[in-house]
Amino acid sequence: MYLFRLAFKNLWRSPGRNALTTIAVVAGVWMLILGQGFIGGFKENIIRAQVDTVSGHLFAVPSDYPTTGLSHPIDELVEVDADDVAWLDANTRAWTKRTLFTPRVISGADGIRARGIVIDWDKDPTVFDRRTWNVSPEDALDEPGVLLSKGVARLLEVGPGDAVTLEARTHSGQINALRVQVRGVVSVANPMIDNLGIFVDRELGEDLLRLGGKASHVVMMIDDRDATAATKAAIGDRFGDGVDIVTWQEETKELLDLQEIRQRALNFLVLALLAMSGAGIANTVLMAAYERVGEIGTLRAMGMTQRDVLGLFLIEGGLVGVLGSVLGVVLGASMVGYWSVNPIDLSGQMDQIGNNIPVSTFLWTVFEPSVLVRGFFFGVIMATLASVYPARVASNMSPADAVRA
Amino acid sequence: MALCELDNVDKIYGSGELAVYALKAVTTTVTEGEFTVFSGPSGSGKTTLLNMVGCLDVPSSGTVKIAGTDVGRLSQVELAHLRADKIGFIFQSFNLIPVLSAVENVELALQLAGQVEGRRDKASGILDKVGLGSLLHRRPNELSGGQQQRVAIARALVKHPSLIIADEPTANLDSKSGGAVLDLMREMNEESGVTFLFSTHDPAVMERAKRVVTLVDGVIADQGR
Ligand SMILES: Nc1ncnc2c1ncn2[C@@H]1O[C@H](COP(=O)(O)OP(=O)(O)O)[C@@H](O)[C@H]1O
Ligand SMILES: [Mg+2]
Repeated sequence: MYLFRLAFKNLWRSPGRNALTTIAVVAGVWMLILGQGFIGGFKENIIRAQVDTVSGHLFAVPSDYPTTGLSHPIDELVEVDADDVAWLDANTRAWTKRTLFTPRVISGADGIRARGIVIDWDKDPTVFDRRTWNVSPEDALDEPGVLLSKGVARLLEVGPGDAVTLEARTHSGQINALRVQVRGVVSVANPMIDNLGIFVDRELGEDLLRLGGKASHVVMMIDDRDATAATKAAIGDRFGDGVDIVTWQEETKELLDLQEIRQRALNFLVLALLAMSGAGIANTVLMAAYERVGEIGTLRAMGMTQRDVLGLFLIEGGLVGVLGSVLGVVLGASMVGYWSVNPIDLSGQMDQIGNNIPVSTFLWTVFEPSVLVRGFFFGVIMATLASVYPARVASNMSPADAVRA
Repeated sequence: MALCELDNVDKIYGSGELAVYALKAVTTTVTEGEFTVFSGPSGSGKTTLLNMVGCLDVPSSGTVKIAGTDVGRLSQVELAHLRADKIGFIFQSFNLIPVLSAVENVELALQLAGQVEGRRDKASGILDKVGLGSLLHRRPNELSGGQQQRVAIARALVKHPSLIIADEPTANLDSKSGGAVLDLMREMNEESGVTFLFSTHDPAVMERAKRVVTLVDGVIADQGR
C-alpha cells in the first residue's frame, strides 16, 4: 500500500513528462475504442441494410438466380402453396413474397431501366422495416400503388401524381406495358434501391408480369438472426431442388470480409499507437530510474527489497497506464456513444458511389461495453509491461553503488 | 559484546589489470555502544568499509559478521531485512526522499522495519526530540541542510537499530550546524546506547569520537585503541 502512495507521489515529480506519456496512452486507447466502434458500425450497417431492405434473415430464390448487377429474370419463379404458407406462418417471425424485375420506366420521351420490386403492400412492412423509409407525400404508404425511388424520380423528373409507363416482359416472356400513376417518392437508406428502385403493389405486378401468385423471392425473418442454419435446412427441404435458400450471412459475407481487412488495418494502427505509447512509458520510467539512482540506493539502504523497488517502478508506469486508459475510455466511449445514437448521415456522399452496394447511408457506431473493458485493460497492461525493463534496471542496481550516486 | 567483526576483509573493484584494492586484509571489531570514526584521506576505503558493515555490499574475501551473523551467507532479501531492522544510515547529502515530508520520511523507515503500529506518533515524537517538532510536514526542499540531516538522524534512529552508519555526515554542513548534528548524535549514543560508526576527515567529528580508526590505502593503519 505504501508503495502505491509513494508511486503516486512520484508521478508528480515530472508532471509534464508524465502528462505527455499519459496523452500517448489516451490516444492509443481512444483509437482502439473509436475504431472498434466504427468497424462494428460498418458491419452492423452492412448487415442491417441487407436484412432490412433487401434480403431479410433468409430468402428463397429460384436456383442459380443471378447475384450481381441489374439482372432479375422472372422466367423461373418460386411457388408457395397453401402448405408452405402454413409452414411459413408457423416457423418464421414474418415473411413476404417479393418479385424483382427490370422494367423500362417511361415518361414522355425519357426512359430508364429500373429495378422493379413487386411487394405485398400489407405484408411487406412486417419484414422490411419502414422506419428507415422516407416517403413523400406522407400518406403515400396508406394505399397500394407505385412508389418511385428518389433516384428514378429525379432522372425522369416525375413526382407524386404523375403518370409513367412501365414496360416489361411477363413471366412467360411476352412484352407488356402498363400506364400507372405514381403514388409517392421514397428513399430507404440503401443506394441499391434509392438510385434505381421502383415499388409496385402485387395487384399491379400481376397485371404487368402475370406471375400467377408466384414470386422471385420469398423473404423471411426469424427470431434469432444468428440461427439461420436450421431454418435454411428446413425450408430447403420444403421447397425442394428448384429453389435456393440464401441467408443474410451468405449475402453479406463478401462485404464483411472486406471489413476484416479494415479490422486488421485498425488493429495494426492501434498496435502501432500502443507500441509508441509503450515506448514512451518505457522511456519515462527509465529516465525516472536513472534520475533517481541515489534515491533507489537510499530506499535499498533503508531495507527495501529488490522486489519492492521493481514494484514501485511498475506501479508508477501502471498508474500512467490507468490514468491514460481511463481518459481514453471516457473520450472514446463518449464519442462512440454519441454516434451510436446520432448516426452520421452520408447520403450526400453515397449518391455518387453506385447502385449495387447495399449499405445504409447512415454511418453509426456500435457501442459495446466489452470493447471499453478491453481498451482499459489493454492500456494498463501495455503500460505495466512497458515498465518491466526499466523497473528491472532500477531494482538490479547495486545498493552500494547507488548510494554513492 | 562484539557487534561487527571484520576478519581479513578484501574488497576488490574490477578485475585483472584494472583491479582496485579498496580494502586489504581489514580486521577489526566494533563493540556495542561505540561512537567510532573511520578516518583517512579521500579514496582510502572509508565508504567501502561502511558499506560492508552496513550490509549494502559483501566482501570479495574475508568475513563480515553482524551480531554474530556472517552476512556473506545471506541472500539479497535477507540482507535487505537485516538493514531494515538493525541498521540506520545517515548520508553526506542527507538523501531524504524528496516527495515525502519530514514525518513521512521517518515513517517510511518504520514501515520498512515492519514497525507499523503507531508509526505516526513515534515519528513525530522523535522529530520533536531532534528539535523539528514544528516542521513535521515540510518537504526536504523546504528545510535547511542542518534540518535535513536531523530528519535523517531521526529516520535512522526511530526504528531502534543496533547500528547507525554515517558516511561523512557533516561534509555538506557548515561547522555550526555540523557541530550541532554531532552533538545530537553523541547525545543519542549516550542516551540509547546505539552504536555509531562514522567516516570523516572532519576534525570536529574526530574530536567527539570515542575511538578513531585510521585507514590508509585500504589498510587499517591505526585501530584507535
Ligand atoms: N564502484 C567502484 N568501482 C571501482 N572502484 C571503486 C568503486 N567504488 C570505490 N572505488 C575505489 O575504491 C577506493 C576506495 O573508495 P572509497 O571507499 O569511496 O573511499 P573513501 O570513502 O575513503 O573516499 C577508491 O580508490 C575508489 O576509487
Ligand atoms: Mg567516501
